[in-house]
This record gives sequence, C-alpha cells and structure tokens, in this order.
Amino acid sequence: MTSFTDMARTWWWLVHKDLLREWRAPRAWPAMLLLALALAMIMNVQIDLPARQRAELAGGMFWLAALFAGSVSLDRSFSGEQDQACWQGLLLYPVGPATVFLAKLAVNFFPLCALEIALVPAFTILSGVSLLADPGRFLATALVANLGFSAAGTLVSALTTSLAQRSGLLVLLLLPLVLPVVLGAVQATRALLVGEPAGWWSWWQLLACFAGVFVTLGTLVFEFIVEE
Amino acid sequence: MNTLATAFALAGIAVAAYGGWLAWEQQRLRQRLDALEAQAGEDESWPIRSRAA
Amino acid sequence: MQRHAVKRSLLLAASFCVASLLAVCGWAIFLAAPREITMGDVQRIVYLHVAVAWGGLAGCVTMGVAAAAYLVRRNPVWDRWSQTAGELGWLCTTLTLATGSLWAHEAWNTWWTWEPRLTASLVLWLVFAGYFLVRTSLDDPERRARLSAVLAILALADVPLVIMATRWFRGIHPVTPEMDPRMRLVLLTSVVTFSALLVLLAVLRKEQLELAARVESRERAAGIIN
Repeated sequence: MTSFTDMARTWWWLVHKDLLREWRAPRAWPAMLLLALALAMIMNVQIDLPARQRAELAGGMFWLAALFAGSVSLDRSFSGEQDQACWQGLLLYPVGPATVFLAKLAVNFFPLCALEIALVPAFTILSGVSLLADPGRFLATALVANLGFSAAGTLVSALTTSLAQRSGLLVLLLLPLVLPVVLGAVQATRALLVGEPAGWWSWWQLLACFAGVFVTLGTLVFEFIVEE
Repeated sequence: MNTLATAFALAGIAVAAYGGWLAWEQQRLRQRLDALEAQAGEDESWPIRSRAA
Repeated sequence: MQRHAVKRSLLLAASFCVASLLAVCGWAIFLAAPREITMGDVQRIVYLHVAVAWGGLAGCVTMGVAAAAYLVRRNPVWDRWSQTAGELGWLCTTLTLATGSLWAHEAWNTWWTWEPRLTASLVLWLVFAGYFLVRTSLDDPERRARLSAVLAILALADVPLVIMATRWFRGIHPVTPEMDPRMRLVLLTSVVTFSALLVLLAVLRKEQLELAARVESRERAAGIIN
C-alpha cells in the first residue's frame, strides 16, 4: 500500500511534468491568455453605463472570459498522453487513478488561477470596475469556482479524449454540467461588487458544494474512464 | 384553447412516435435475427444456437 | 417457451391497464378537473407539464443509478436500463420544454424565460443530448457502456446543483402553489398514469435492447461487424 507521502510525491511529479512541458513549449497558455483578453475587450468595448450597472455586469463578463479561456487548457489536458501514445505508459505506473485525476486537476487549476491573476488588472482597466474591492472574498470565490470548474472539466476532458470526434463535444458536454459554477461565480462576484455580503455567502456555499461534489466524484469515477 | 390542444397533441404524437419506432425496430431486429440464424443454419461449421425463448 | 408466453401475456395485461388509466386520466383532466379562474382551460396544461417534468427527472435519476449499478456489477442489463431511462427521460424533457414554453406564452406572453424550471429543464435536455452523443460515437459495447455510465453519474450529481442554482438565481423559493384539492387529485392521477406509461415503454424498450444485443453479438461472431 502506498503511503500518503508516496502519493503526494507521485502527484507532484505528475503535476510538475505536465506544467514543465507546457512551460517549455507553450501551446495552450498563450492561447488562453489571448482569448481571455480578447473576450474582455470585446465585452467591455460598448459598455457605457453608470457605475452601478457596470458593477452588476463586470463580474459576469470577467467569469465568462476566464472560464471560456480556461476550457482551452482543458481540451489539452490529456492530449499530451494521447498524441504520443503515453496513455498506456501512464497507466502502467503503480499510480492510483485517483492520484492521476488529482494531478490532472492541478494541471488545469493552477494555470486557470494564473490566468485570472493576469486578467484582473486588465479587466479593471477595461471596465473601470475594481474587481478587488473585497480581495479576500474575491479570492475565496475564485478558488472554489476554479476548483469546481477544473474538476468537472478534467473529467469531461478525460471522457472526450477517447472519443472519435472530440473537438466540439468537450464544450458541449461541459457547459450544462458547469452551469452552477458559472452562475455561482457570476452572482457571487456581483454580490461582492454591489455590496451584498449575505448573498455572496449563499453563492459561495453553492460553489464550495459543487467543488466538493465534483472533486470527490472525480477521485471515485476517474478509474472507470481510464481503465483499459 | 388552441394552446391546450397543441400541448396534448404534441405529447400524444411524441409518445405515438416513440411507440411506433419501437414497433418498427422490433420488426427490423426480428428479421435480422432470422436472417442470421438462417445463415448459421446453412453453414455447417457454425455452432447451431437455439433461439432462447 | 412458457416463460416467453407468460411475459407476453403480462405485457398485454399491462398495456390494457395503462390504456384504461389513460382513458380515466383523460376524463379527469378535461372533464372532472374544475376550470381555473384566472387562466381558464389553458391551465389544464399543468397536468401534462408536471407529469412530463417528473418523467424527465425520474429518467435522469434512473439513468444515473443504473449507470452506477453497471460500473459496480458490470452486468450489461444495467446499461440497457440506463439507455432506456435516458431515451424516455430525453423524450419527457423535450415535452417539458415544449409544454413549459406554451404555458409561458399563455401566462407571460413570451415563448421563453430564464425561469428556474425552464432553465433547469434546458440543462437537463443538454445533458441527455450529451449522453446520446457519447453513446453514438462509441462502437465497442463495453467502452460505450462504461463511458456513458460515468457521464450519467456526473449528470446525476449535477442536476440538484443546477436546480439550486437556478432557483437562487431567480429568487424563487420552492413552494407548492395553492391548489384546489380536486385539482391536486387530478394532478396526482396524471403523474401516476404517465409514470405507468413510461414504465411500460421502458420495459418494452429494455427487452428490445436485449434482442438488439443478441443480434449484435451474432453479427460479431459472423464477422459482419468488427
């Protein structure tokens, strides 16, 4: 039986292998960033509303840009293994499928967080709304939203990697599943920006619930997706 | 009133269509199974499987 | 052969029961149920709408539970139940959207609104559609069963969260509306009848899928498909 330290070490090895590969030959990250910035620009270009209305909308636009761009990275979660026939190799290691799932989850989670860190200032400039009015709560929102989104996304990505016509299917399958995250993140941010702490708390709980459910579910069902 | 009729008509058509499709598919599968068994019967090397009730 | 004959007679008896129930239900909805004050006769759509909405949800739950059973047991029968539940659930959800839309047009003069139940139904519809897209793009029966099972489980976990999210979004708390007791009875009749119809169709379809599986394995043995 592998000990917890073994699992943690394997997890880190898997995460750092994928992140390093992307860092050395970036294919997804620049696309993500550019897409997010483009979306942010397009959405903000015609908004000439009073401050209150802008505060209401800014959260929604931010999250749509971030999550849509995030799904670009999701698409590529498993393509590395698939393209170079490393899939079987990965499964042959004495690594539990749960660890692989958590590693892939991290590989989607961290870049998404980094993307949002880059996107916040850009968005603040473009929309004139300070997203960091309440930085602690915003960070808490982002963490659970990203976690839930990455968990659901990793699972759907693994599912669609093995299918014939994958390209459109990932987004199509993902969208209905992550509606609670999109809605939750948008509404939570809106509550933050217009000053409704009670409302924010309810939405945060929904996001946390979603994250909890999908991370747990992921560790349980991932093995069924990848078994040969 | 038209709306009410439309709603129930839609439901009726949907159920009837599904039922009809089931019947058609059943027919097709039965024919296919008969054809396969006839073919198995002709070819001596295939093991003869009795059709399960 | 005896078992086959018994099965056939049971199915015939069941069909007769369902047909009678449908007749009773029709009478209840159109004649026995009182006419509603505000909306008039159009309100009777609700008897259909609630029944099909319930069918859609039940289909989703059954699909997910059967999928979980398949992953644990690996008996293909569970996969067939899952597929059957998915088909009927999708059918019901389509009808939910249609009847809901017709209702919205009568009540609020608009074909669509991001009302929680309609939104959740749309999400459910997309989920069923995704399930079938995954199934049709896989030829190997084992992989098809396994991967669609995982998706069904994800969907099952997701539906309550979607319902919560859409209800909070519209600020509508789930409260059963005030309903005349006679109307409530008709509603119950409608739901029971429709459920009986769905169960009958499900059993028929599941038997048919067994037959289809037999045909497929014969074709595989004969080398017709790979």
